Amino acid sequence: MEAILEVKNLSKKYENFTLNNISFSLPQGMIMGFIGENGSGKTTTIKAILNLIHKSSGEIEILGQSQDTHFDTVQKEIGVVLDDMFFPEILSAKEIDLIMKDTYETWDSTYFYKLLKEFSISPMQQIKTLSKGMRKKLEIITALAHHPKLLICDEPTNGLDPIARDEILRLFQEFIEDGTHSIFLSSHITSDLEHIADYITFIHQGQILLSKTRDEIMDKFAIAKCSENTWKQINQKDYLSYKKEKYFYEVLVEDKKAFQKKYNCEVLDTITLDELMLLMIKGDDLKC
Amino acid sequence: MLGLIKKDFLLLKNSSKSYLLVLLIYLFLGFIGEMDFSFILPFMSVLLMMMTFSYDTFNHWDSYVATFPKGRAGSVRAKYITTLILILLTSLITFFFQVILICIKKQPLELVLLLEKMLGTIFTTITILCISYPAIYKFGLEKARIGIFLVVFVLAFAVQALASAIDLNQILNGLAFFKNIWVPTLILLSLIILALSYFISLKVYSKKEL
Repeated sequence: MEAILEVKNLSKKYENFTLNNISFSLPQGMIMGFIGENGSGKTTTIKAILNLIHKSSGEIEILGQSQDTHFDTVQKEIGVVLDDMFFPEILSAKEIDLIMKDTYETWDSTYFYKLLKEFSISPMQQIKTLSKGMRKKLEIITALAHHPKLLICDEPTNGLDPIARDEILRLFQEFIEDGTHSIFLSSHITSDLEHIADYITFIHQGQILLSKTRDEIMDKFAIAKCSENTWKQINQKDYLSYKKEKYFYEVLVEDKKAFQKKYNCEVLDTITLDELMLLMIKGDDLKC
Repeated sequence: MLGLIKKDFLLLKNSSKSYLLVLLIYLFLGFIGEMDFSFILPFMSVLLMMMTFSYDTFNHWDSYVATFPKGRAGSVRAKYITTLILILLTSLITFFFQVILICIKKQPLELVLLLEKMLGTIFTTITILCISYPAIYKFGLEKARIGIFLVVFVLAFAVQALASAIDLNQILNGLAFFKNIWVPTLILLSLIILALSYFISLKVYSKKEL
């Protein structure tokens, strides 16, 4: 499948933080959830993709074009929702439409107003009078109304109530329905991504720990709960990390079936993204 | 880019309550002859443009707009064009207001003098803004504001000190040849300052990490 976004060996060095040689690829028509704790490098990666910061090394390809040489060309095909970055808040949705139709050749006022109506946002209301959820919806509607091929969102559901989050996630699903659009979505609300993401990329301290399809993670990864006796028999190669609890060991395994065949563990739970993050970050002996 | 110019004018329209009262007071003072009205409106355009930067900073507009088509270059270009439109607009309003005022007060109408005053004000306003913009793009509005204030203050002080230290008439007599060409010189100088400032801002902003 053709990649709409490809990041190869991207590095960005700051005094206190380094984005270290990260690579991943987002195929067309898919949603990639970019997860990681605060300060792990999610926003830095997004800023590097959007050319807001200058990368130290590496390559980024968007829609098959190099970001170094063709960013001006691909820029109009990208919709962007950034954390705390939007139009000045004394403007209204109607005024955003006036501005954007002279900014994007493909701006679709009819679609913009249709979405505003769908989400009950008054076109005349100033941004500052909107609730946090409404404002975020307006940011997303604005990013979608020029029909981009790639939507890049930094923490779009952060701080929103479950209903607002659900509405936004549904909008994302509609956006990728035709198979030609893609979304690169950073979040630390992993439950949202479990519902909509096709791919999960996990970043920690500026390094990619994992980039796989969601199904692969959900089907293959598991947490084995083992007694101390069983734990002592487990070969180090057969797990990714572990955590010692009071009466048992939690062991993160990459191949659930193979592990089950080989060892006699009492409980083998399907993993959630939260648990995966927690064990990979807080667990011992991480071997990625 | 037209969209970005519109954005700044919409910002000015929506925040007009905050400066219209000040403007009305100045208009009144100008009308009763307590204040030379000629420079008020163009100088207000400096404050208005700073206000647009202030809104931009507060909402991290700089980063957001850099993701638009034409990105950073379009954004800088739009700011300079908005500035020029605003200065010309306020200067024309001032000019016509002064003509009306002179007619009402039945004073002799010295059009050339009015135009010369207008040109001088435009030049000063452009110079102040052209010094400010590269600093704002480089350091952000908050840090740049102190620097801009200092530069303008030092310049004004230097001109004042120079004027009182030397015999101005002697200098003016010495520069008599300049009398006939000062209008095109000032226009040319304004354009040079504008172009220089624009290219510095563009360079600074395109290298900036947002």
